[in-house]
Amino acid sequence: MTSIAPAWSLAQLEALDFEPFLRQCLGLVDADRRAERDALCDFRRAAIPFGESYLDSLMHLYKSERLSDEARARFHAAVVSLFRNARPEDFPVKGMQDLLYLITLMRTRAGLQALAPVLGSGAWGERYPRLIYDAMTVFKEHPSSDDTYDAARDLATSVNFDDRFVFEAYETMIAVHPQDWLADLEKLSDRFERLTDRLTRDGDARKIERLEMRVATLAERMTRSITLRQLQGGLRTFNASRRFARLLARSLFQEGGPLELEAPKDEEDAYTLSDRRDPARVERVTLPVALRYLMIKWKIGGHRGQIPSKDGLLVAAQTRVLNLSKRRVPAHAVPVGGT
Amino acid sequence: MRFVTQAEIDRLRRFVECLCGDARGLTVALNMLASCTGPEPLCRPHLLADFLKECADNFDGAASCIGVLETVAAGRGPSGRRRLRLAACARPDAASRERLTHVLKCESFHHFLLGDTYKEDDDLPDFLPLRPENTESGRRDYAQRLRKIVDNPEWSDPTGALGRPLGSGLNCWVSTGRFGHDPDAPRYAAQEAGTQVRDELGLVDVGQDDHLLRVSFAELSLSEDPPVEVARPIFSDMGNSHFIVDNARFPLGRRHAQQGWGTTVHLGKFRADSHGDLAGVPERVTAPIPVRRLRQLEVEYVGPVMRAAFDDPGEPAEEALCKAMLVPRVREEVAPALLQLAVEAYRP
Repeated sequence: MTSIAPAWSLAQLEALDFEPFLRQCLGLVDADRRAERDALCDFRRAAIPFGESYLDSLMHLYKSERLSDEARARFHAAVVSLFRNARPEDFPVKGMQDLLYLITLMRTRAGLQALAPVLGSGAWGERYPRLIYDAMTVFKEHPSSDDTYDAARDLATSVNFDDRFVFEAYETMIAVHPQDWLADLEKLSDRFERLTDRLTRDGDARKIERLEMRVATLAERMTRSITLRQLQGGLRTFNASRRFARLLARSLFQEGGPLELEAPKDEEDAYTLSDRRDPARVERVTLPVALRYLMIKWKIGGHRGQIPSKDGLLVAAQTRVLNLSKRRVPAHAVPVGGT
Repeated sequence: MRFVTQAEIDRLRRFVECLCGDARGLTVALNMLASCTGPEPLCRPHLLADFLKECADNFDGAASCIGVLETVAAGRGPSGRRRLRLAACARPDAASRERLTHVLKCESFHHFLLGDTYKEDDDLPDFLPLRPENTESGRRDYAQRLRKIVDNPEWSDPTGALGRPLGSGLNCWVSTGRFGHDPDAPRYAAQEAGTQVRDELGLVDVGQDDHLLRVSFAELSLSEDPPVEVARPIFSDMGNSHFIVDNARFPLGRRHAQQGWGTTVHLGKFRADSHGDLAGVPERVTAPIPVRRLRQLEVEYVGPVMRAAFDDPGEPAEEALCKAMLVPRVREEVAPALLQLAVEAYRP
């Protein structure tokens, strides 16, 4: 008989050295060995359900109250240790995906902390970029915590990280530290920029549309994580000189976007910023010149009429500050563009 | 194959008594009896005898009985014969317009059915978490992401197949909506859709906070060459030990049986009245179905399971469920009856 279930008793499971056990069973990935893997991971004799798969069975084992806390801790340590120590030469990539599945559902700090060294700078991430994708699922499962933030930041700024996942990493980071949204955006701005270039350089309308839709989704998620006050704080120094930053700004404020911007009236310098889902939430914000120029150019916030040159706007803004301090308004200080 | 010597019969007795020693094993034993007896048996007794002999010959007393059963049922025993007996086989109707459904957990879908190729999209991969964040917006977000991903016809793993265990696949349980609403089933609020599906299908291992997905497809996709046989489940259709072969004892189950469908145990009904009608939804079993052969395929997020399968989790509840399934048999009579059936199977 090729693979009668080994029928683990609870006592055997308590005494099991889990790391070699996991290395053995998760290494059985060939089609003709998978039944053996299922049999090895069958703990029903110890009254631990099998579930839908060998991985479900391993999770049932980890969560089972029948197993002592000490044995469960050893099981967890074995998963993380194997993830850290397995080498691509002698462990299958499918086994690594299995370990990532377990790490995701076990939701532990040690699991999070293993991601950047193993995938971000290690051989696994270099050879198998799809593992980075799987690693992103870990963040989604984890509650917002500094550990999640640190792990997402470390992975997103690592050498093996793939630019295509930068949206997910950034969303994870702002969900934990929304107050740092601008600093984190700047940390990842090279990745965002490279991705923007990659998707737009050949003028493929489908790719450009996908990018725009993804940026719109990011804008929407940002406003769910970041308060209006925090957004206002960052917008004052928002650097709109790069393409991605401009795309994001447009997605945030354009018609149908999550935020509404109302241009300053008369001598005021501050825009009125509000949340379209909750218009009662309002903040006043002074935009940097470059961003203000874009708002006029895009006719966002009630701007109408002629588009000024950036220099003209800069002169106008500087003059207005000067005039406001002098409490009088010379004719040439009115910015062009119909505020 | 037959039981000739006393030693063989002793081995058989040892296996059967061990099988009947716990709730799940007893349920399987009961289904063995029900598969071969009654006015319309689904399986000939000598097939059961063959099956049991192979199990008994390879049971060393330490192995899990259910594990041995599954190994033999999967054709991984010494005979190498696949023991998945599709006793009430019916070729799927090529002109059928019906849809069949299969339910699984979100993380299983992600790990076993979703293809790596879509993760390696050259542009901007759509990202699906292993399972949804358990908030209203998290669930909505997950459902949107899922819809977007399965809109791409290349979403599935080329080797992915519906069936259990996922990753190796012995068989696949499918259900249908053809019998309509069950007026006797407990009512569930809209947000309890996940709990309702878990209960209707009798998925005892799916617990609170698990999230379920439903895969549905046109029945006619099973009739394409090579056709996939579908059948009313019998004892050797592993992967679901909580179903009742003798479904005709419930009014709803009788309707299912008349049209060649088995019936699950409804956990909601069991919780409400463990002595009452336990009939859940209709189920048939097939060989594992490669996802790529499914037509009009839809994947839909059902929702989170919001309560445990049993009010009083653990073995007492399993025992109670087993007892409810045993009716009208007496526990003590199952093992002897099964032994007798197997030993006498070849008598003229």
